[in-house]
Amino acid sequence: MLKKQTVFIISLIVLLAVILGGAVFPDFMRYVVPIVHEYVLGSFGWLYLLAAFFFLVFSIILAFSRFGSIKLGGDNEKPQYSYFGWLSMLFAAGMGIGLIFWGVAEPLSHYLHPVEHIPAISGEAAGFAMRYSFLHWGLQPWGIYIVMSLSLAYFTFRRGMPPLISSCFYPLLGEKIYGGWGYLIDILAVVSTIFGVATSLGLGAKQIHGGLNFLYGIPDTIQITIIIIVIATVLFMLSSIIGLDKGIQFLSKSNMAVAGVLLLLVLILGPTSHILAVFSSTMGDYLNNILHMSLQANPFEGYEWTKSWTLFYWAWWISWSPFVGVFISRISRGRTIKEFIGGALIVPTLLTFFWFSVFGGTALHMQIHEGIEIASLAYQEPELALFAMLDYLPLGELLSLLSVILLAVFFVTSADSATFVLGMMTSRGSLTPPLSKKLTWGVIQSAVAIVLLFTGGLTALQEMNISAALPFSVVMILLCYNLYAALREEPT
Amino acid sequence: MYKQILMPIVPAQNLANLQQSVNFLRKLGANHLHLVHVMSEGFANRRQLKNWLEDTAAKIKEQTACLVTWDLLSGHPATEICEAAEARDMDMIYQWASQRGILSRTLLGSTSSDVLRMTEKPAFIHKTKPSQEEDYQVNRILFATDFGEAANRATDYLKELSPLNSGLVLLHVRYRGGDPTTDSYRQQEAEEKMNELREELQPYFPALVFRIRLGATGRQIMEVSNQEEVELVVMGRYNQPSFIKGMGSTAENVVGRSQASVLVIP
Repeated sequence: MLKKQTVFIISLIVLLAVILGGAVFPDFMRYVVPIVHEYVLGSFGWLYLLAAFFFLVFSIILAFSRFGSIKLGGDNEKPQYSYFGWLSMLFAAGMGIGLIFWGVAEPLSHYLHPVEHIPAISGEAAGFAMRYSFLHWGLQPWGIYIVMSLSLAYFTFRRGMPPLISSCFYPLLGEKIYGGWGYLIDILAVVSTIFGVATSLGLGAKQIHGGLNFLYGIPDTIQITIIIIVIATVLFMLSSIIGLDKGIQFLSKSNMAVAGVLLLLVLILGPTSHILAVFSSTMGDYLNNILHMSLQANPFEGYEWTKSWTLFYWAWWISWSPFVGVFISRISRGRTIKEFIGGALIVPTLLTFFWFSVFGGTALHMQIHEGIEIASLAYQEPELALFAMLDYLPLGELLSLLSVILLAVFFVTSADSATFVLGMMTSRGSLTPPLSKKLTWGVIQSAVAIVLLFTGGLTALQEMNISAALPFSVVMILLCYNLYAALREEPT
Repeated sequence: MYKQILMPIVPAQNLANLQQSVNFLRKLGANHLHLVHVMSEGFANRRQLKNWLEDTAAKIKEQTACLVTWDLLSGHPATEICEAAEARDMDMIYQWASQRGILSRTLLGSTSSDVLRMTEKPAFIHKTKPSQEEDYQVNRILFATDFGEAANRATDYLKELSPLNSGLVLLHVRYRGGDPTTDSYRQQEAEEKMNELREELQPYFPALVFRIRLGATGRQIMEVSNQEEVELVVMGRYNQPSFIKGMGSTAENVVGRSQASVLVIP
């Protein structure tokens, strides 16, 4: 009995230690987290860069290899969802609080403070800003998600293994996946997921608070942010207790519709032709420079910038990958590997690019062509950037309210999904994890977000995330080997 | 199969060791030994080397009833050895392992590794364990098989070693299956094939055991070879495309690290 709870117990102990450490010794956490973060990035920053690029290349090669025709399930199995439904859900998996938070803030921040060899507040900086936003939210994140979700889907649906990350290590570890090594892999996945999700929840709460402050003048204090997290936590925990799963699913789908409406409204109400021009030219820029950007650490000039942005993102996506991976793998049953990789790489990426073109492009247009100063605000208080931009559009107040609702619903639905995934990962892959575990993880992920916000704010969230992703990036590299080892057994 | 043997030698070689090898080869049925030395370009004394070769050949001939011929070559050692073996249609190349240290071997490579990589003839790389300095005996042979084409080719050569009256250890190293069911099936399949091979080889090697291991092929061959205290490892060489060959084959890795002699059949 105890053995079955090993992953749950040990993960809980590790995370409780972080929470208690932050609550009881906040100064110590403020001291330790940056040191760990500096060490990890200083020594292993190159690993994140190379790993993210490797995952992308690995995915593309796999798609075009002889393994591309292998089904994620039985040979005669049909996909469970239509193309349109599947692609919508793919995008929904990647879409979330982060896109809304950074859609305006990131391009503006890069415009104001690009890498050192690019002159700030210039046309060049604007192009750089959009290009790097595309890089951070484009093919690499989906390459990372693909490695995770493809491995899970393959081993679960084609090989009949439990839907755990440790199951994907059978080719390398054999029966050891049922013992210490398997536990370690699953524990790393849980801890990594918690920090990834906590980062998103922390950002979401800050932005909801920012929106409420912008719209209704609610005071900008850490206590209010914490209250927002607590309220949202209670809401998603209630939904689990009362059994509102279908309600959450409905909310999730409706949220996508709301996001679509927001996108269209900003496109129409904003500088439409400019937005489309930004989309087109940044796509070209991105494709032309992808190899350079993927491998460029700016070691001679601009490494601090690379650490703060690119490496943070790669770490964030790596830590998110178990969560997103589980979801994507479940909806992709019955697809071929080529279909899966093609769909997951192209469609969500294009939609994300469009999102950034609409929101980032509009913000840059305001800053550069309309003389509206919002870049400084975006840099200093990124959670307010979106609202500052929307304020200058017609129906600004409505759009801001819509955004706050969008964020709140994303918060609840993402947290709810995360508790399910975490419950599953700590119940030996059971698709009906006990309510007690889901509730525990719900509390834990919110508590981690609160503690990190309290001890160091947004920076602490980011720093902890980067550090926690390091061991898991090694796990992901080994996942590629295991997947390949299993695939080569397939008859040609 | 082991009638005509090409043996590269160097002046530093101990004549007693050479004699040991000749005695061993005679047990296998060798009746023609062709000694070659590939001299370095530049300052080598051609006449001196010729005299030494002639002298060595004469001494060996005295001790055995073999035909002993010799040749002095120059150029890239491995290339010359392989070409000489081809030109004279020899049955096997028999050479002593490199005396270089590990660093030199890593940086400069060894002639035996080069020969293994380049030759289309069976190659026997001789290594003597300290306990065998007096008399080279092969009491136990390890035959590594993946049941593939290369291993099938090697089986006939293995049978020709039966005059040594050695024990035989059959080793198959397999990859783990992608899931427990597939893995179990693979284990079963390996056991069936091993039993078939055992039936085929038992008449030649009455003292025969088999082992099935998981993991990296080279490492498992080394481990089993040490555990079973074999004196000779026999394996086929998988003739891979050039790119992969350049990264080192299992045979090259085993020759480099094994304490036992190695016979590789291309």
